[in-house]
Amino acid sequence: MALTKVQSELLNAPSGLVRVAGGTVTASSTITVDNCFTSSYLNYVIYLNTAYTGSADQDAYLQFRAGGSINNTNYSYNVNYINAGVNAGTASSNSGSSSAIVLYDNMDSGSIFNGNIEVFNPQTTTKTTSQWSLYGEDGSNFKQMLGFSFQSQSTSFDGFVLTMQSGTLTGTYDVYGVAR
Amino acid sequence: MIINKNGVDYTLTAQEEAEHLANIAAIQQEQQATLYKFKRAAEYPPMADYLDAIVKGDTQQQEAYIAACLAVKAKYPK
Repeated sequence: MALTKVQSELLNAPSGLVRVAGGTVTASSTITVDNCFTSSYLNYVIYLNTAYTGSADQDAYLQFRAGGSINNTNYSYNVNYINAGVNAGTASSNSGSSSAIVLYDNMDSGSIFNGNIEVFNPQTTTKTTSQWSLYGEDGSNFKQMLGFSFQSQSTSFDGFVLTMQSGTLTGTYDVYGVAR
Repeated sequence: MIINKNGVDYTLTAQEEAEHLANIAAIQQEQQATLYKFKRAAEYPPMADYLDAIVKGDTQQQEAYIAACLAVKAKYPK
């Protein structure tokens, strides 16, 4: 029996990354995205391709959102830095009582701010976890920030906000759901 | 202050900007409370120097190591 067109498309349903949100930002203090985490996917990847303008030694934060509001409690995180050819260590850490995730510590004006953030289970009531690898510049050093986080609440998050301590971002962001 | 919300530039109202800045201030305050640990860890002299001093019985090297640690503690107080 020959497959119909619809049956054929179902058999060939896409797997891998499916873009669910994205856009361009110009001199923006935050990147706020609502309704990007849905029941369609368990896991997500956020890609950043931006540049930072502002003061020296500024940080980038991540918080999850639900129903249009920021969740600012119960984050745990650890973020390590590697300055290429210079040094490495822990930049910041908190066990359970942070109001945000510190993604990046000490970024300088003119720095690129690229990389990816993986988010696991944001939409389910399972604890939301994440990990990231982000790249930027601190003075003359090229720096990688590697981190992970836990959100201990059982909230179903539908979005996120990436906030700069001060200054602005210009560039693009893309959010992908991971199709199974 | 301009933010990007769901792909659209948006200018915060005065109240929203105050909330935004309060959010950042709270995060910074939490970070500051533990920052000294990471600053100190990055600048403490290698522990191998202290062990080397013990192996050699070099009290002068031991005292120099302790002094260096105390200087780092003083540089980044709790």
